[in-house]
Amino acid sequence: METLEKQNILIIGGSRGLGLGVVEAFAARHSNVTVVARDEARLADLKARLGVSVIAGDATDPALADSVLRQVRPSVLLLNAGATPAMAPLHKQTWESFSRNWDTDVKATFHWVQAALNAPLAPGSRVLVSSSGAAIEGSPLSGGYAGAKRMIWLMAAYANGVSNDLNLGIRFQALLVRQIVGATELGHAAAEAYARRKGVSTGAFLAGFGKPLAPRDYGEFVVTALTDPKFESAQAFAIRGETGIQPLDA
Amino acid sequence: MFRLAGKTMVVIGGSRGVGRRVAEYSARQGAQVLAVARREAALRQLAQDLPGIKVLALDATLPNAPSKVFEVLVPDILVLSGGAIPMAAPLHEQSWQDFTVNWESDVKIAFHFCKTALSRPLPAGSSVILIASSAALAGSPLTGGYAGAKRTQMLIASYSQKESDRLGLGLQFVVLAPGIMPETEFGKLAVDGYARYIGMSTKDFIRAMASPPTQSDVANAVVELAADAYQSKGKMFIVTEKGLERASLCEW
Repeated sequence: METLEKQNILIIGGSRGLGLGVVEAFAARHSNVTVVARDEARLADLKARLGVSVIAGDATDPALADSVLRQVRPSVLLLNAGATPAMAPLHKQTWESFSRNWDTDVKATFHWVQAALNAPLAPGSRVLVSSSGAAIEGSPLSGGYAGAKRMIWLMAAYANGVSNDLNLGIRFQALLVRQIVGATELGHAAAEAYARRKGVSTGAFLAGFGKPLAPRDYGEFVVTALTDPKFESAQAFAIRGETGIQPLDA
Repeated sequence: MFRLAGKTMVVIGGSRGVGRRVAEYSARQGAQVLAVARREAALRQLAQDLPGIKVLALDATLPNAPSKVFEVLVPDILVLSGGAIPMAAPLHEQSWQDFTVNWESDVKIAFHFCKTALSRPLPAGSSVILIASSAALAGSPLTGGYAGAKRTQMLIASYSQKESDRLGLGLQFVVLAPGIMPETEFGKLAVDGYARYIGMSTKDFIRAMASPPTQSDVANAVVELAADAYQSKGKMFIVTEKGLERASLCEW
């Protein structure tokens, strides 16, 4: 995509954390941004502050996915909705806490990816899904988080297969943040738990990742992924504060 | 020589497919085997075919399944082979219920049994052998959430090993990742599905597969690992017709 100006951008899970950084980056480029999230107060604030369109709803609801895609017709769909995992070792998890990211992140990604394929979005559209570095390294204190994020990465590959078979011209790409982000609620909870396990301070633990990744910087990297042609065909990207965004071979 | 003489073994999913073969081979190697599965008819048949094997009918996905099983037999070797057969269809044709069937079965079984192995805990020296799938490494686009579920089973084993080491429990968690076994019920379905998908005959597709393992290969691999699990703790192996091959999953 040469420019994001006036493009319809749909961001699922954009009211806080990394998703909010992406919303800000697109708003700064005068895209037509629509944000779907559950928290109506945060959405109202976002609308007032950045002039974006907002839709309150549950990202795991398939009917919502179908109707919003039909209404917005996005050329870029960013799937960022997800739950904060319960931080505890495996044997202190319940099945419900262990499954939280499968039942939220994977389910939401499944329904929106399916809706994008079945609508279908226009040829040339891009769908970015949120995997994680945990899909590579594992995350022993976060229940089923790493497995769920691996599934999301696989789903991007599967969806590209369907897009090719049906000649849809939609490109699915997975984003993997390869560090814990202290500035988000999820990242902070994870950093605290892993730091405690290691017997170091949260600050020292986070410093081990090098340059922190600010949500707004993350947003800029996502913009780069969409506008720089060298990122057009990769199936996945690794993102770090220190090294920016890079194509990743599965 | 009986390689598993004096050992007790529980096989979850022991009534059919590779689990049944594991139960059979291990019993033949001298293990005292309890086969656990949901379907009573299949278990009755197993008990009839192999009189030395004990059977227990229960749903292994229930949270209290591990304690019920361990009331009957505390295993030196726990083999987790149970799971669901996914629907063969591309991503956009699956329902969420189809897509999540292996999470709700295979992963749930691994979760409850590994959790109980750690928290009960099983006696020091016990091993847990998880039968996952090479799909966890390569992906499997026609079987919904299967590959992610199998990947999660591997992670559960990895996390459990770390936890056991940290707590000094002396347990060994080992993962086997066999490729598609065309002779099993699930293998047939997968092979048919993929062959149809790429427009090949099933026979040609199987011929083109690189050394697919048989159920016997996998059962032999389980016996080999069970006989000497300490050497293999925290590791993962791929099974081909040539035998066991240590896999390098980068986080392991």
